[in-house]
Amino acid sequence: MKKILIIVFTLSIFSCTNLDETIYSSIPSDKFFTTEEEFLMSAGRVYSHLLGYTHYYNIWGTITVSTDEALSPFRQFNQWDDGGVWRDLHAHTFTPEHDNIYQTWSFLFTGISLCNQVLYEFSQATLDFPVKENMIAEIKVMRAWFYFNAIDLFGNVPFTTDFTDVSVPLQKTRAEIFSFIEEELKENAGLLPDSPSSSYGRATKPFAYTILAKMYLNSEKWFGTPKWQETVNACDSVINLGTLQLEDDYFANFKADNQSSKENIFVIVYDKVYANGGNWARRFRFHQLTLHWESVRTFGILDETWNGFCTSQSFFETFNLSDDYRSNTWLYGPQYEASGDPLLWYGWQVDFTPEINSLFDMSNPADHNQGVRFAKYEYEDGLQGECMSNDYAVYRYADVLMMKGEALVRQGNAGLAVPLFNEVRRRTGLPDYSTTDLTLDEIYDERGREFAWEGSRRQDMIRFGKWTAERDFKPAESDNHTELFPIPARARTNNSNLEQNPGYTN
Amino acid sequence: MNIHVKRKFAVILFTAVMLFSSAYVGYTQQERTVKGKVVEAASNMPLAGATVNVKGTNSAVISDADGNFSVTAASGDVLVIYFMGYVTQEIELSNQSQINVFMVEEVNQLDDLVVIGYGTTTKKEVTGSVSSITSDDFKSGNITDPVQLLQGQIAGLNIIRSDGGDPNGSFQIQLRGRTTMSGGTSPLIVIDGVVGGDLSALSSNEIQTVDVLKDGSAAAIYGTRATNGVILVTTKKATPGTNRLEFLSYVALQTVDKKPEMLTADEFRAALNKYGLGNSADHGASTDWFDQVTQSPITQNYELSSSGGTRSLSYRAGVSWTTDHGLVKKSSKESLRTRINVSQMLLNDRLKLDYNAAYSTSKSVYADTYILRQAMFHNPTEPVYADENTPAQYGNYYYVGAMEYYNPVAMLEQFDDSGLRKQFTGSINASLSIIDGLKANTLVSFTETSERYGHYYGKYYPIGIGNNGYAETYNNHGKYKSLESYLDYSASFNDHRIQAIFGYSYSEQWGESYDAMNYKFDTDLFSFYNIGAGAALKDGLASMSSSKSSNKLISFFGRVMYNYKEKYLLTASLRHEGSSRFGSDHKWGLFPGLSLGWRLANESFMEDVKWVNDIKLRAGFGVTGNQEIGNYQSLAILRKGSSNFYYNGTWLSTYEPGRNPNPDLRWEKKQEFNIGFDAAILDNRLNVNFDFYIRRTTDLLYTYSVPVPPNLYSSTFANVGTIENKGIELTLSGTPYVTKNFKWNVVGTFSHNTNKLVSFSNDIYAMDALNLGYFGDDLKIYTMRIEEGWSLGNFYGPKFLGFDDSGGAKYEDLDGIEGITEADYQIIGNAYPDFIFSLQNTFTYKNFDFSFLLRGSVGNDVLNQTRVYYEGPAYLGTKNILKSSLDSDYRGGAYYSSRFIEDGSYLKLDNVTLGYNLSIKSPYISKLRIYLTGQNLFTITKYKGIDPEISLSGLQPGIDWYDFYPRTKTFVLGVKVTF
Repeated sequence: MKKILIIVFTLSIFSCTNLDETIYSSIPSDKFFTTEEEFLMSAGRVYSHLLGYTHYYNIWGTITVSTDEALSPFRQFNQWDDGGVWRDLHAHTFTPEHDNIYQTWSFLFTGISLCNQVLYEFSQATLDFPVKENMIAEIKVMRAWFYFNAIDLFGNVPFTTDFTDVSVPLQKTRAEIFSFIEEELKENAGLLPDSPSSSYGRATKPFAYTILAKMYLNSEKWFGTPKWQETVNACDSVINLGTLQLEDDYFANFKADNQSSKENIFVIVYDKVYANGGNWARRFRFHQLTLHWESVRTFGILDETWNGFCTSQSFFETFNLSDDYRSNTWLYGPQYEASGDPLLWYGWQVDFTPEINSLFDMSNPADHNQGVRFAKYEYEDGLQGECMSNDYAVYRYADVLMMKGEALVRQGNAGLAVPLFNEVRRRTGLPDYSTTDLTLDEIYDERGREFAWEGSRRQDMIRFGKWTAERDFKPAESDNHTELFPIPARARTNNSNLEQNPGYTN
Repeated sequence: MNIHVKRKFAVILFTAVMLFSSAYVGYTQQERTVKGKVVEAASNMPLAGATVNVKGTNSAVISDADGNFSVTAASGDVLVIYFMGYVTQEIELSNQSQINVFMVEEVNQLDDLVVIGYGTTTKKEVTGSVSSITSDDFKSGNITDPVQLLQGQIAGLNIIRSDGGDPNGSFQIQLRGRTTMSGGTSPLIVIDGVVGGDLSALSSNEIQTVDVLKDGSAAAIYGTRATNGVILVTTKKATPGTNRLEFLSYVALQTVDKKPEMLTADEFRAALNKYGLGNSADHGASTDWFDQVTQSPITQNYELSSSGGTRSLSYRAGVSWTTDHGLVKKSSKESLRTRINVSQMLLNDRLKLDYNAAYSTSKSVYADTYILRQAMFHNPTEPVYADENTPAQYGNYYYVGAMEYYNPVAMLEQFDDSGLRKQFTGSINASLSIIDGLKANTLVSFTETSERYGHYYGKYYPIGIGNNGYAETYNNHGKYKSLESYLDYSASFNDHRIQAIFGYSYSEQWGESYDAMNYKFDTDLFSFYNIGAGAALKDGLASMSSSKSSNKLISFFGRVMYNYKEKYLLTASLRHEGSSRFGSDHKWGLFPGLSLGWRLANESFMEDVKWVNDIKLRAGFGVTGNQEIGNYQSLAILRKGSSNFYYNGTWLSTYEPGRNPNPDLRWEKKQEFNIGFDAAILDNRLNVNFDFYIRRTTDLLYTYSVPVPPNLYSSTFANVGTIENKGIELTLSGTPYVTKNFKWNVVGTFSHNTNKLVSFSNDIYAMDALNLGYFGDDLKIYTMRIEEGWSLGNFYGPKFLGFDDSGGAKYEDLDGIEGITEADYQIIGNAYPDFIFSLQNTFTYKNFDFSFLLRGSVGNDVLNQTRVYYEGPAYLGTKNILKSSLDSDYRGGAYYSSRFIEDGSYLKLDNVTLGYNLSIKSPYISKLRIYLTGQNLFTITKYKGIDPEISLSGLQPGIDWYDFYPRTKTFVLGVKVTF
């Protein structure tokens, strides 16, 4: 008995020293990438990453609230203070610590890193499949789009295309990266499908040329080098494909079921079941941002709305053309329940007024009622949850026509531009333009009406020289340094190669 | 409520019956022959061989096998009874004929055993910093978790019930300051040698001793898991001898100690008037929302334990049942804990086998503290239930549309949240004496835990109206197996004594979980018990998930304890330990410990210093680790992405890397240096223990921010920083006054700790500052900050200077640029106390005992979140505000500043107990004790909020969040009967 116990004891001492881990609920990296579908499931992350685009703490919030088309005033009952992010964006008092700007930076460079990583996976693949080359071209175009946004917002930015290079990337100039994007788009556009509908929600030929058009359109502002003819040519590359056309109904592009739109060039595909973001920061939640708490009873929404974002009085007033169908972009005046009864809050009818008391004044905050609200995207009846099912239109065909028109006007060729603007304008119920109508100011206002809250306003304001001028709740600026956002402090902590943009401390 | 009142009376009645029915004290006439019985006080066992002497005479008798004796004496004589190892008793005879003598074991703390992990030593020989308490020192009261017994008892151990009065709340234990940024912070619990036990599964009555290994040299024997100290729990074991049965019971009544002081309905109306807000916010009713969601709870506890057997086979079995109700309506915890221990001696007493089996089960109904927040700021003029204007979808509950504003009663009534937890632990320990001095010991243990949680939001739950019922259920299943095997050798040669162990340890842990969510139910009747019935499943909106993970720890360890003449003492230990959780090149680590002791009192030069009975100087150094980081952190894995990808008309899943890979992931390593002394002076009446320590944690694990690209994600889990803690601890314990019938015991503890974040950057990972303490609602502001070289726990924000004439706040403007921005922020407080202390007094007079425990903390700052938001008129109208708003001229919005950082120093009367032990002569009952305890009776503090005793663990300590579950005053009536 004693001996047995001693043997058991001794054996137990020398049993096991193996410390390998057993994995049950995830996949070891070396067991993946064995089929075409596995490559696609990895590459698809570039697109699911885009779901973050429309978030108010992300790029959409940054480029929209910093213009005159949107603001989120500090409201009574201490709401929407949010540490000052909204007023700092709107009044151009942002600093390198600004959270939205960091989130925006992070969104863009995560996208770039993601593309680099997916391209690396493809380069390592021993497996061959038919769509491989097209997929690689697609990802390269997506990377070019992320870089395009990065140089638009931040100017000189860190640059790398090699995922295996683990060193901290160096900063390249806006011009250097401009050339890279230009070449990348030209090289890869040819490998992409002609029509957005056959490759819905993904990079296509018209998308690549639209990016190119936007680059050329802003070239004069960015570098002092006008590229109007190149703009016209890039737009023609889209137009001549013949795969796109304007929707007769302007709002058809923004419906809950807007997949059938022939006008949308590139969309971010949201779906309340399959693409609801999976997390807080990746949901399409315009309804929550802008609608009054009580407006849920106007639209039959089964969720909370936050009574925040609205548009500025002066921007709203550019819509005061009689019969402009696009004025339905806004929700203003007394509000009603779906049944037609007045929409009451504490016994008072909710009434959205264009006037707003203040952007930030603790002793005279904006009323809950103030500010005209956004309703361009359809609020689906019975919408439940935080994610709308409408697909967000990043670029529309109307933009291509109007960019071409603008480039022509700037080349002194207003006559050729008139039919382009009128083609877009015809569905709004407004009279046609004549050659003399098409001043740059008119084009600027018309773009405002056509593309409100579509992420185009910041570029327009800068290109038309309106960005630093005085407007509601923002005095005129002494210089134009805010035309670039500051490089976020956190990005510079992590990458000491980055030089701050002029005009910003630290 | 009615049921509770009935139960309360039942219990009180029962207690009273126990008190009076069995008590019987005998008196008879005076006689010349005095008979008596000597028994051991603690066990109530007869003592044979005690000497009974009539003082001043030579007549002496010896007690027989049953402890009985008989002497001839006259009234007024004094009997002297003595027995080796027990305190000699003197009894003056009056007219009794029968005397029961209770012999109390002699207190010589120096020979008390101290459990040090894989063996024991004695108090006089221990060289590390080790604190012990035994069941005699345990407080009584409503003790729902044995951790509570340690509160205020051990210097350096800061225990806070951070969930306030929540019956399902847990205790946070922090030893000697915070040593980690992201790893686990709880001490390692070892129950009867089984490493990694769960104290809450154990009834406090089943515990014999608790030993705490505080410094690195003592804890190093537990290697990778010992950075936060080790708590060694020894349970009560089988005791051979007479069969005994013990019954314990108590009932506890709780009342709220303090609630948030918001405006009443009338004050609210007056305030609307004062601030000129009109009367649209006056809904005409008067509701005390706090009262609507709280109750006066009652707790009951019953325990039964038996022990007995012979020397070769003995047993102990215990069962306890507790039902604890909480202050918030519906919240409760009901637990059943059972335990059995069987001991067998074999092979001519060379082999001892110990079988232990414990099973515990608990059923909890959880309180949603968000209800408390909603009740706090709810408009007191609103009625609770719907009126004719309430939209139909809100059911019978009054509704006002505002952002994140919900009817608290609807939240309470429309929400079920409950959980079941079951745990089984089985172990067998074999101890074989091979030759004299050499023993082999093997412990095999197995623990299995299963948990089921479920919650259901009813159709009219005010958040997510339209969900039509929302159910979720989670199941977790855990398994833990371990083997601890070691050889123990001890020998003495002349004046040299040596004790050595060498061993091997293996443990493996598995966890599995499953959960399911569904909504859109036809009826609320199912709760979460028919989760498939919801329509969201068919719409593709339900969710389901499961996972499994495991990890392993393997180690070899050894320790040598050596002393020369009990004068010069040395302990050296080494553990070589490997964890599966770390990178392939960093799995194994070495954890050495070394400590030295010098018992000065045994030196010849101390012989003349009579007032010093013993003094020992100690010094130690040890290395420990922290591996509480979760599984698979170092591996390159792919996980399923949270969103899908629209590809040619179908939705494809996405797969993404789990994290930025870090194959260099390794132990967080703590090095600790400790010096101290233990002294016993004035006839062993006063014991002094003092320690000074420096603990330095390097390779701190944290998710560091990294550039993207080249990385895929913006943070990487890596070993970078260093934290240092320094402090002193002092424990004084003694008996200032003692007479025949009266005894006064005092234990006082004092501890002081400072910490510093030495660095959190290196060549690869750079971090300027870490902002913490985020206030989300409306403000979205960070209130705390850590920078290199700072202490942890700093509040960071603008410094408040007073109010201006128009009712705005003035802040210190550091950068001279108009407006208060982050450039004007500064350190405006620190959450950690300068020192904490406790004082326990116990008085025994004849059969009465009385004790009280005071606990205090000095210099801790508290951020009062409720005041940040609700001291001022900003929310008045839709929401209620604090009464204190009316005293101030402030008219602006809610904004964070030093105005809301308060001195949270406090002194608490934590526990007061009055007990009475009845002298009983009954063939059935040998002992009966009743006691009355008050817990948390008062707090002396300047703090304006509910309670300044706030969670200090975590990286954002000292914030009094507005969801705090208030603590209660508790009154306990208890009884303990030994049969």
